[in-house]
Amino acid sequence: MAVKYSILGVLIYAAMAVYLLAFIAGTLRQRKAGRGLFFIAFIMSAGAFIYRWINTGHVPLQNLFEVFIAMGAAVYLLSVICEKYLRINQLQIDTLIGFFVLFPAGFVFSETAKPLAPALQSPFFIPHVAVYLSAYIIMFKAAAAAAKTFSGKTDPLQNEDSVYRLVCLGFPLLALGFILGSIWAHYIWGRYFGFDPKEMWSLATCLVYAGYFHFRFIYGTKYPRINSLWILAGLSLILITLFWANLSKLFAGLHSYAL
Amino acid sequence: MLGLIVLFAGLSVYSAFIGPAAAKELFGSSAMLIFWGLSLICIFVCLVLFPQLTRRPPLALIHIGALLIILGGLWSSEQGHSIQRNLLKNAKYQTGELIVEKGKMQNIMAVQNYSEWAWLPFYLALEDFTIKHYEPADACEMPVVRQYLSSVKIIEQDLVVSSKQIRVNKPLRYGGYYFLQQDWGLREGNPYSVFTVVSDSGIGLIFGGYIFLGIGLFWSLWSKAFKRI
Repeated sequence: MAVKYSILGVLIYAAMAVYLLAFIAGTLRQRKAGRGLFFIAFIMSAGAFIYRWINTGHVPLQNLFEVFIAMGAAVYLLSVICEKYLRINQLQIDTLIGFFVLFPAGFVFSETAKPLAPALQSPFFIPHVAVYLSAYIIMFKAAAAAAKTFSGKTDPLQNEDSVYRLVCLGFPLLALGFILGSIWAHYIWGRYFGFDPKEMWSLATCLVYAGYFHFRFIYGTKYPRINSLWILAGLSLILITLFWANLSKLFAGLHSYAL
Repeated sequence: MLGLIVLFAGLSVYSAFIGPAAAKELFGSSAMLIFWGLSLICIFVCLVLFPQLTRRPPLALIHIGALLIILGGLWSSEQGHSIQRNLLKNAKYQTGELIVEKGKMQNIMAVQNYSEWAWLPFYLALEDFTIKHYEPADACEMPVVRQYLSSVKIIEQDLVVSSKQIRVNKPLRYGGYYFLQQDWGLREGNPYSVFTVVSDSGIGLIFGGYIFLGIGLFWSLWSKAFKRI
């Protein structure tokens, strides 16, 4: 547990608190208040991100602490895109995601800034991380919607369509993140795929979603629960990649943040 | 096809636990060669048998992209290079290491984990090697490395044909090889650079596959995601 008493820490904790309030407002069906609080939480997260940017002098996506702050801000932007263009409204889920992605930044990771290592001075660095974190948030949203299939409270077909369109939005970003990482690896290490544990988990994640599309192509919406299971399996692999593969010494490698 | 994807995903998860060296060996094994062959045949047969894959350009792009990536992967692998050396009389090795002292040139690189030596058809001369550091915040702080820089020249038949500054993330590409800054050291006070030398065989196929796959995925899936309701 690393509690922060800095300005950055205050911004993170305040954003977390407002995300929680927005979630409560959404639960109490106070939609307008919920959206307003959601926007305030976004301003705070974006403020933390910009504050970090000014302090470090480079786009703060270098380590998991910075990535989670960026995710805290990105969740609002992606929520707006999904609501406006996909007509998928998930206020409660989005605010909860916002709270949970900021939690590791607030309490788990150290805020000590380090200069940008030579390996990270690449034009692929920012797009690779930005695309991945966007894809992860969308896949979180898709998995939350997929889990509703098992609650029996929603129309399974309509819910299945929402899940499908969210995965359609997120999967190209997930694949692009993988491709950008592969090209970057080629220019830095001389190989486009190094069989590193994190690379293997990322590949498995992409393959599970590819499996979902093939399954859905064959069976359509005949088995909505099995379709949802694919999405939940995909999210499990994302969580493993993000936390276990990044932090565990079991998977120590070039991408590991544990060493 | 679905079965192959599930098997591939399962093998990827298994490989995450066994470490990069064992995973590389597994994915390059003879059994996996059968798997890659089956995957290639399966994608090709699907493209022929299912007209909806070829009639819909984005789906065709995705599957042709996957086909190119597998072909490129096979061609650029150690096994692929070994076959190229034996059949096509192509002397390229997949990867090697070249150590060049400042003010000297070299064309002999260590290959197969220093068990063999290979000769490049040109020399790489190291003009200069420098390490740039970040300004320390205070005098007590150890300076942190900002970049490793090697100024090199390519010499072919006594003529300088290319010169470039190699640094981390910015390799030199010449003669079918990439030269990447890997390490450095001192030999009797004189600095030397260690370059990873990587063959470019198959890379074009893989990157071409990435472009096809990427365009196909965005075209196919984003049109569905953003469809009007």
